[in-house]
Amino acid sequence: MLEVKNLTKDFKKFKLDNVSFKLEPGYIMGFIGPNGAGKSTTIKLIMNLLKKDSGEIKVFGMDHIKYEKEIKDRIGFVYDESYFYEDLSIKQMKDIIAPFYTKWDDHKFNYYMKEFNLDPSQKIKKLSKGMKMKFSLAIGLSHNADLIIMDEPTSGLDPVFRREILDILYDIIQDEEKAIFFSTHITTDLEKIADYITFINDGKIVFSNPKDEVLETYGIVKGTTSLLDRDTRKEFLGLRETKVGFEGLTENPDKFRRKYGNEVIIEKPSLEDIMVYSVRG
Amino acid sequence: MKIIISNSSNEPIYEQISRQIKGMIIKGELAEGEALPSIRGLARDLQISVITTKRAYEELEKEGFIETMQGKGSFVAMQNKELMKEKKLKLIEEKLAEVVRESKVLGIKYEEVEEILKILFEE
Amino acid sequence: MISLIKRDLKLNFATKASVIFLIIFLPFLMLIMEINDIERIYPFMILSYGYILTSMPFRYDAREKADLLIQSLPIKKRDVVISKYISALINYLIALSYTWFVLSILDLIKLGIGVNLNLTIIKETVFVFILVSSISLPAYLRLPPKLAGVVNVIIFVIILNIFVFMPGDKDITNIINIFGEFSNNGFFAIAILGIIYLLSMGISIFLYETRDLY
Repeated sequence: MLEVKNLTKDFKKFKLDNVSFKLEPGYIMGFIGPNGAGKSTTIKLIMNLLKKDSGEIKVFGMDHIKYEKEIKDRIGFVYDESYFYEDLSIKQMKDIIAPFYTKWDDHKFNYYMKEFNLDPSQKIKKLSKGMKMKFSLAIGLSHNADLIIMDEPTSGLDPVFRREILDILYDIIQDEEKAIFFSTHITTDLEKIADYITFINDGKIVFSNPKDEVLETYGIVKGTTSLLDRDTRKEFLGLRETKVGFEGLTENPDKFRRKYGNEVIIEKPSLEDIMVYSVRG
Repeated sequence: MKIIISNSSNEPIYEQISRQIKGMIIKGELAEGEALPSIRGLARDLQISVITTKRAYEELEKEGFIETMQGKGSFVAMQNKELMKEKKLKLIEEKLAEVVRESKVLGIKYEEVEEILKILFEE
Repeated sequence: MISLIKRDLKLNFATKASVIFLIIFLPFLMLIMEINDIERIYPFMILSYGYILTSMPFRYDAREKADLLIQSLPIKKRDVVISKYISALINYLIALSYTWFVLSILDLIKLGIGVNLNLTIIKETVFVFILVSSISLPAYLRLPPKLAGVVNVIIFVIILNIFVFMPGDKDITNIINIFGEFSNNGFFAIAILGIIYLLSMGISIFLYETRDLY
């Protein structure tokens, strides 16, 4: 459904380098990385808000520039920044947006207005960040979009809200023909819901794999510093040593299990652990 | 149908699911031909990835516990009576193996365990 | 396309503040303007008003980052550009009508300038408007908002000075004369203006399609 191949874009101080990943319909892909890693840039390139230097992007099997209009007709997008006309009301904003979509469904829109407790006559500038986000989502869901692209949709929202959004996403993905692409640095949101995780750091893709695989491959090893020698240190992607012991992320937890048995504690990592250790080293 | 998963356990989630469903089928809590929740519905209810539930169901299908029909969903497979008996025995064998392990560690002899078994069965 | 044009119009009249602003802008200009040549007031008002109407949506979009939205909707970039060029023409007509309306009312209550709308004024303002738009629209569509704003103010001030404030100047008078002859060749003039406008639109389409948004 969404296919990115060798996407490259050079900025003066930053380079998006050979980014590649693939998302099939029926799945949710989490796009994680620290701030400034290139998440928003990648999404802007997919939506053709920025011009790529090289690489291929296909949505629904079609080139994203050649068939830009047809593709965007089927994409629901939610961005982090506010991009609505603040002085207009929800209804006025909707009236401006709706005519551009061929499959706009007003019934659905009204349904979501009720579900999300939004008042169509409210001025956009009076909406809280969470409500604006819900409004974006309502719009994205009211034109029968097949691919939902979200760029940091939950940053700045309280956990209750975030859980509500996740529930909505779960409902969407019950339909096997739809897919969701979700970029965030709040990895706890993705821990539950994501099917695939693509991790980007400093403009490069670190991995793009099924989430279960990721969480099963990596392990957090904790123990006393005396156990560390040159060989074991090499096994760590990221290591934290203190006076009371060490804690590190490794791709080979089994090695440690076999070598040290009960002397170390091996735990399942969280996505946050993986991200932090990979970035910090 | 009751499935409870633990995020903090070391056992992979898909195994937790397939183990629990297996148990229900063997104990007869899930009847032959009964429909299982869809992989997506289950993923939503458990708040996990659909790939996990898919994997659990694939394991169950490989071991002959369920059947998946394209477009219709997954159902408890018709259980071969002998196979069922074998599976039930296997379940007990696994539990007994643990008892035997512990007994050896604690230094308890076979005869003493037999005694205990007798008493338990008479209860 | 029509939705885009409607949007631009809607935006200008969306809030009470902007509606009030647009209504009193012209009468207000009348009050504060001190132009030596009374006749020049007419073209000045038409051009200023047309300029305001055209630049307002651009400023809105830049301020609210709504171009993020527009470029994410299923709209061909080419259509966005074409709609702006059509809107500009519509804005000119609105400017023309409203200026005529305001000045006629003022004439009726004897506060006006006593000059009637004539073909020369229309020809002249069309000429200037098309010319200015052909430069300012590409600027708005391609340059970062602040830079575009600066460019436009500069262009506008220059043009206005030439055509409105300094008709007494010898060189300026020559320019206006050339223009005068030019516009007397009706068809030719329209054709050239048309070509300039379309050329500008073509360039804008290219610039807009190859543009990076932030």
